[in-house]
Amino acid sequence: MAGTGKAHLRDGGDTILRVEDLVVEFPAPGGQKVHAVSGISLDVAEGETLGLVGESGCGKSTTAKAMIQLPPPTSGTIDFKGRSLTNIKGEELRQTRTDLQMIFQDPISSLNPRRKVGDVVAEPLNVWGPHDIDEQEARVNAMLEAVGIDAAVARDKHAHEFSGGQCQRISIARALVLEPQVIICDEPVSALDVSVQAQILNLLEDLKERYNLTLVFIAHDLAVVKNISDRVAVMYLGKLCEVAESNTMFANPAHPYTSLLVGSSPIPDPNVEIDESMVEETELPSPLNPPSGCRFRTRCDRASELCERVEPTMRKVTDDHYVACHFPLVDVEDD
Amino acid sequence: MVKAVDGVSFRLKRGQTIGIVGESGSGKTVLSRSIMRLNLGGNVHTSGSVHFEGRDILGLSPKQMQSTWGLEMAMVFQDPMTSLNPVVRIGRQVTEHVRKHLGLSKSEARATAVELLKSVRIPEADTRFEAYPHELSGGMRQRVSIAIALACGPKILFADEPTTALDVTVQHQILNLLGLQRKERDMAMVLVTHDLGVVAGRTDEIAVMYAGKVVEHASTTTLFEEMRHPYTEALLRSIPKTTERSHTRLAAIAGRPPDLINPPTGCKFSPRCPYAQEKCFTEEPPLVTDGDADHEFACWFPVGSPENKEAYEKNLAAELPQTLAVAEGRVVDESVIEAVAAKAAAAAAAAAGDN
Repeated sequence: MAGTGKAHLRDGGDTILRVEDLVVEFPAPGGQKVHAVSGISLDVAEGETLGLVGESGCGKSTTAKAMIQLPPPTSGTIDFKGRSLTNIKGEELRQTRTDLQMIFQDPISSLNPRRKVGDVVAEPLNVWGPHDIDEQEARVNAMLEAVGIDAAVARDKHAHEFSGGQCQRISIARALVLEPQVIICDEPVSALDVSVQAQILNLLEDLKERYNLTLVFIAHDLAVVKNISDRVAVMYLGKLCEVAESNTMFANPAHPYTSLLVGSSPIPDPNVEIDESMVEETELPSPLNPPSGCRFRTRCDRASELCERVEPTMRKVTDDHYVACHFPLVDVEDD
Repeated sequence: MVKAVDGVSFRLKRGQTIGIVGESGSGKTVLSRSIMRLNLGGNVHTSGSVHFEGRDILGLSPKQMQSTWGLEMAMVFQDPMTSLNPVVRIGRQVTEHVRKHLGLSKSEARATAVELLKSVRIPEADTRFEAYPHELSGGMRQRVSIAIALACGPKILFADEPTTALDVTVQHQILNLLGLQRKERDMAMVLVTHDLGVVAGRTDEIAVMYAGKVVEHASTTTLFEEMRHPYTEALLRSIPKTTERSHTRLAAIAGRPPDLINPPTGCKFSPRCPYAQEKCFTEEPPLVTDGDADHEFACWFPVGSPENKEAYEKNLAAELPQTLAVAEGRVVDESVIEAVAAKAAAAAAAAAGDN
């Protein structure tokens, strides 16, 4: 699209999280508004991993955070298992949040440096129970073992005594200890070394299967997103460009922006020809005053007067491939 | 004492690009800074020699060094927000060098700087001349640091993770820009990165560093096609690729890079290596060649050799955790790897003592 529309939403009964017409705006100086997310609709099926990709500032983190009402969106609805999260408040929302947990980008700063790892992982249990010490200890130990940390040794240590990869596994244990159904992973591997990154990705796949988790996975690295996701949504400046099954998206990118991302992504193979023609930087439009029509048109070489006037809506390419573009790179079905 | 860089040697020809690849803590940044004599402080001990066009750089006085920086060798750093001065307009940050080194007048310097900003594809260079770094995007800032580095026409450009902080589309443009400038100016370039994808199509040769040492060094195509060192192999296998199907299990490298204050005996990679044998824990392998004189590697059981295959099968049968991590993508904690390595090292030492 960068456009709107809901053609890509599925009617299946196994939808766990459904976001419709999500808008998130932040106030800016001079009475202006930052249009962080402008009318996004997404759904996530139970047991599925949805990858959200896009450049920094495209609103991918804001979308994911709005899913757990941090902060509540400006408008739009978010349904979790058929229940609207946008209409509930206070205690009810607090209780629902136990089913939706989050893992953050920086593993070291997301753990309290002054508390022991055992206590950090047990904290959600202090809030929600069980409050029995022995039971808590058993749950914490089980969780730490599940993420590959030796609980007996690690419990009484502090975060600084662990490596980045270990800290990320500890914060995964903390997110899992309440047995949530959905985990939102906000760039969980971007701060890690490549060798550690593989471990975390493998671990998330294992845990997903073991605890029947649904993941919303945000990253800017396309290879990482492709590896872990069943379905990928590409975002640009607060709008969705393309939603597709992961392999399909990379084999046949339909949106010019997706194609740009795929083409820019470095491939570790010297025999792959690099397109060295792109040297100039196209300036990213400001989210304070996004372009009319298709938001990507200022950087798009296929853009025409139509793109300026009319915002594209989601159109079907194949059963699990939708694109919001007037001039997609592949054939689309007519509405 | 931390031995951050330990006995590294390489040669770089005029106009060529070498990629230096390694994880954080492998010594790749310290290496490039040592060559440029940017390791400040009295606690740093540097030995060896750096010959640049026949002169030994390490023997130069600080004053002589000043006339080398910028004019002969220059560096682009990882984070342009910290390498640029936030309270000085970008124009002055570019003209500073040309005025000092090339002795240009104020107006000449300005004209040169605007040309430089244009050559790194900064739009409206004339107006942008007056901008402060915070008024520019990350990619634009990195273009400014490239313009500063190129200002006096250096013969070598060191680029230390120049695109790590940038978005993938911007990364692509900046790498293209560096390549273009290198070609136009016939500069040599040292591209330091942790990302094998970044160096793959953009370098002539690659040196892979681990724990302060070069463990493998070859031309780029040879390195990717016939890698001999298990670390190079592990590094490539552990990264997800867009050419693979989704949910492809990654061959993770178990454990973590060694503590350089107390490095392991023998091969530094042995505790994490899926092929490690007794010999690896006691004897450090030298950098050797095998057939191809331009392909150096430091391993007792190089990848692709029959000994390597034998070692792998032996370790797999013994269910060594790091071998399982590679074979099945099993998640193994660092402490397990360290315990296994300590035991193996002790056993190897005891065996050596018996003889």
